[in-house]
Amino acid sequence: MKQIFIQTAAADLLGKAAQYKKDGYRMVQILCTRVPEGYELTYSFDKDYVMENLRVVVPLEGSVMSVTSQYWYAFVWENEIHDLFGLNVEFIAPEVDYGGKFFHLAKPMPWHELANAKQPAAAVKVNLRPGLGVDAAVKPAAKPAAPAAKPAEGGN
Amino acid sequence: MGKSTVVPFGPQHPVLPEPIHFDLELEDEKVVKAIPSIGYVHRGLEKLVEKRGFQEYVYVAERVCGICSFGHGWGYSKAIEGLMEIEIPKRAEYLRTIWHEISRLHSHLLWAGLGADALGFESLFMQCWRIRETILDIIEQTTGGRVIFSVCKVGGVRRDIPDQELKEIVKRLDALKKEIDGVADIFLNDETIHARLKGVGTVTYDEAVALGCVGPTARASGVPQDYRIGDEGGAYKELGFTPVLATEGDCFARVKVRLLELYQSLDIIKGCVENMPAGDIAVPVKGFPPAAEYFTRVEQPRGEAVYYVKGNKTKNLERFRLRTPTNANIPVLVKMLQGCDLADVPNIILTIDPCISCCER
Repeated sequence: MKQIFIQTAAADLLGKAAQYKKDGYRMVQILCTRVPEGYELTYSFDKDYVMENLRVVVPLEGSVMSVTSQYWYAFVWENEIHDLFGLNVEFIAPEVDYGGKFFHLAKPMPWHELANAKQPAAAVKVNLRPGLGVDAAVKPAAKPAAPAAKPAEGGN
Repeated sequence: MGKSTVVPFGPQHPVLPEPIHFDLELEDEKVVKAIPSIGYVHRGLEKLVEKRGFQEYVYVAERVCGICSFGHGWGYSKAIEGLMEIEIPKRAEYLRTIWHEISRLHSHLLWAGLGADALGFESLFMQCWRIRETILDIIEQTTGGRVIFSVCKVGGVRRDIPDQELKEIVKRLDALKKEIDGVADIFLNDETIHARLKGVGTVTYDEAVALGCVGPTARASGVPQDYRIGDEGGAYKELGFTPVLATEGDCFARVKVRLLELYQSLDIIKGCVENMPAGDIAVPVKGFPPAAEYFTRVEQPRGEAVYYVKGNKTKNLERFRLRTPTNANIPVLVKMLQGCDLADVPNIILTIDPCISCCER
């Protein structure tokens, strides 16, 4: 399969998406990858089974414009990217902007960290019966303490 | 204006085989808005690619879904083969095509059973799944597994099917054709099914294109989109392929397309067996994937699936991405549900054949 990647500036994204739509391309997917510079987004368009990919890099604290004004159905991928990676996608069509409630996740933005980055130890939530008088959120168990000194043998 | 209310639908519902949730905003019995949410079975399988070797990950890719598991293993392997510029033997391509089409039979029959059950046809449900048992037996006979095949690997396939066994499989499938005729006749001609499905959840050709539909959902609206036409892998190009189409775009058309695709899959398998090339079934894979990226696609039973891999010269990939067919069909579902009767919601959802396990990965 022929691989076509076109680097583009975030500011040109909407214009290029509009051009693809005008030329009869179908939007296939949006891919997000965490890279050291921030987020690498790949917008794929298909015509006659040939796929072209627009590549946009967005800085970590930046945001990207939604393409739902051109391809309404992109809201699925834009909501997913927001929920999994934490990237802010601006101006998603209001009726399909789910504001972070598209994915039910135990941990918010689980893919925000760089691949293979060292993660800080997370607090472990323990569900205890009420009334036990113990804080429910406890830190991961520390290293087991050294065994207590053996009592001297021979004593009574 | 009628009384407005919100009805939660799913993630657990008698007709839903998979956990998707909708908040249905109703005015009287009409749905005015459907708000989807997913994530109940999100397993982070794409992320797992950072921890598993690129060859080992085929087993993970297969476990994205229990219905189209072979297709996911194939799509992932194909992406790695593209990335590493590996050319696999012709026989392996044909064997992959056979197993993939057997998966399609398995998937469509499973779906037909669930659809029949949702419509209140419990005997039809049982018949569809009884026929599916023969398909599962063939899968077990040729791969050793009934759901997860584990026969696809980077560089080819793990098992061969002897030519004599292939001929026997074709004979069994020929006998199965008559049994499929029986259930297809009920689906296509029963008045109750017509009353429940015809004119319900209609998507026109233009809407299907504008909403980015894929698979039988798109083809039921007359969109001739099937990646088996453009597939550079498998045997489709050599055997010749024309997609099954319908033009009505309603729930009934989606049922019809899937039923006709059963016959098409039987023909493809027969074509593969008749033209099966001799030779090896795999090539050795040496080294690690280069620092490059690759997109490929597979036409799964539910529609086009997109696979992306990014290597970094180590045994682990940097990124794997899978855009599943259900993921692409959620927008059309949201549109179809607007304006429908509450009683039609289950049928509309079922006729896109949603696989949320795939969708969330």
